[in-house]
Amino acid sequence: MRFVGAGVSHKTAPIEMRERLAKATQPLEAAVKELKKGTTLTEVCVVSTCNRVEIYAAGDAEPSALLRDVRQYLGAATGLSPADLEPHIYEHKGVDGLLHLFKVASSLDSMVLGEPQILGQVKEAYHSATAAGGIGAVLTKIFPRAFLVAKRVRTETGISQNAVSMSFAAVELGKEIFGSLDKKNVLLVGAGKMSTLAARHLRTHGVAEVRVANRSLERAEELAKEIGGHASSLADLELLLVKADIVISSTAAPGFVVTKAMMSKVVKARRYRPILFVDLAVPRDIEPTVADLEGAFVYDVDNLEGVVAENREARAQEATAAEAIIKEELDSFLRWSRQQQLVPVIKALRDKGLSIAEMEADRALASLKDPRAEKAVRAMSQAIVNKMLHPVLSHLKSQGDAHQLAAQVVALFELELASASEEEAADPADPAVVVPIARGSQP
Amino acid sequence: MEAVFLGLAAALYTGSAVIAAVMFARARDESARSVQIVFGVALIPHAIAVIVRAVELGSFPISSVHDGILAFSFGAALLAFAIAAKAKIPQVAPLAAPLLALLTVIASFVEPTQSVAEGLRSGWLMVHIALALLGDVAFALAGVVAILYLVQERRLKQKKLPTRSGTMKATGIHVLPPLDTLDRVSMRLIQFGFPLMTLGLISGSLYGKHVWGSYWTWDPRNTISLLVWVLYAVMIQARFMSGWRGRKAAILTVLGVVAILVAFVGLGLLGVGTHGKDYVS
Repeated sequence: MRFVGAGVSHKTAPIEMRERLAKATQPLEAAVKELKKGTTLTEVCVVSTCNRVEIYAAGDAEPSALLRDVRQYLGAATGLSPADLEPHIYEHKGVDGLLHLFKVASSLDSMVLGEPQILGQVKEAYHSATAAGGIGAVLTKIFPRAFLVAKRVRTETGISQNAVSMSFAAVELGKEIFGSLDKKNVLLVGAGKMSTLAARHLRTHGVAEVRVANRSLERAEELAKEIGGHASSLADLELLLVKADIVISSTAAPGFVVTKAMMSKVVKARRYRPILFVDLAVPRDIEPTVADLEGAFVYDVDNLEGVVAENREARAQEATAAEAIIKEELDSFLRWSRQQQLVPVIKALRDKGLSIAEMEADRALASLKDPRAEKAVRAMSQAIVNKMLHPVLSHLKSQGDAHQLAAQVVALFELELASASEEEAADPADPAVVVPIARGSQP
Repeated sequence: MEAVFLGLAAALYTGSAVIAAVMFARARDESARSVQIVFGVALIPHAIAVIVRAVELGSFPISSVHDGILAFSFGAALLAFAIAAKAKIPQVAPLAAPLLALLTVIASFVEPTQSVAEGLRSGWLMVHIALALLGDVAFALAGVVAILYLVQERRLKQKKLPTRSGTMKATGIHVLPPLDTLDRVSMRLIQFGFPLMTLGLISGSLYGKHVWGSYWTWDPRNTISLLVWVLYAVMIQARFMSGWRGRKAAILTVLGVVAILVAFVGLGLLGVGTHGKDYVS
């Protein structure tokens, strides 16, 4: 089994392309099923956020074949030609893919280092993939490990301490325009998770009022209650925009929620007081040309990167510590997975030894014909085998990279492994090979 | 004596302007403080120069081009320093510094002639000049703040915020003051300067009647002043009526200030019109 990961992120693709991909991969379950249908991919997990769309997959084919299928899917789903799409796609094989996934889950690859949302998003991707039948022997070991790594990074480094990501950016931008945020009115358009976070953050900076406008009034009321604001219907949006100073938008709407036509009326009614839009939605909620209007400032997730650059710098040091943890965990995972590969060898060796012991004991007992001796003889024969094999087994277990040794053991003891391998001999030097599978792989 | 102190002040303003330029080039705001300190220190010889001149004349020095520039630059420096400290717009000092350096140098080169002809002296003249001068100082600073507004607005629209290294540390020092503050302070300075300018025009008119027998002459200075007065009157009105503000208001503010500078320095130096020839006579 080989493991690969490929996708686009805020580092490689413009927001328009990410919007397209994010749309194309929704719902995640359908995307997972689509990816598996008629391809070399036997296991698939799709991670889709406003900053990245990534596909992690495993299959028996060559990594390049797996990646080709992923690329083909992305092209078909977005309707983009390979020439347009492929320069933006990054691809990772085997261990590199693992490393990338660990970094993503730990928020080291995020637009805002240490932002807390990404882990939840990766978990969600994993659950969706499980529901769609995309998770098998490989991914079921890799993803939970990634969650563990992310948790360690969060608790053992300071990377997430001031990680409030986009909400941090919203507050900083608010200060650039308004100075102090008290007496300012905040409008949340859409009741998503990101806007909740942002609203909480703004609340702590003393904004006067938080109003939540959502398509479902019920959900708006829920959120308003949670953060101490007021709920409104999205139908009153134009009126709400007249009163708001900071607008944070994160709806799942496919088109623009706030258009230039709407805003050109609103800015007049607001007497051209400045208004800040923080558009966290992908696809975007605020028509970009709204920024051409007097007093209207529009920032989408891509623009926010500049704002949070400073933040990132401050956390770069913590990132180094986090990288060290990831490296450590990756090594231990690889060691563990290689040992897993030795399990069949160890089992075969012990089984063979014990069956010889059994056989020899039977033979000895047959000639002895003394039932009282049976227990002692069997125990003795087993003990000899165990003691004999003990140094060999512990040597095997302690080896980080035991392929050669395992091969020698197999040859020396003339072992036959439980299930004849369905897999090529794994070369540990090949980074494309991930070996976290206990199924009898022949060294 | 006066020339020595004025020269010292000019040197210090130039110094703080240079520090400001270096600071701007390197995008470091630790030196914003040193700009302000050097600027503040420059106020001392500047004030002494004004006092020395006042003692020499036996009255407040505002009735010749030299004295006018001296008083204007001192008033502007004082107000700039106050805005930097009080309204927390420290960037006003580095921006005003090159302008003040220029004005003080000009003042040093313009001979302090015994100003107004005997027959033209009157209490009205002093009132007129003092009011117009104060109004001009307020407008000049409004222009400086409006420039800052335009820069900040541009940064926000271009989404290059809050910029590169070291500008937005934990202390929360941003490169420029908040947009809203700049808009408010600029407008407030205009609202402060406007009645002064109005009274300046009225007193000038009364003085004109007193001396020449006519309330108004269309000399270039009067004309420009009237235009600027109308411009600012419309702006203040538009702000109250329809909340007119922002970029266009800032651009007009700057234009008004440029016009005043032309009227004040340029025409004054050339000696055209009633202001010119009688001023330097």
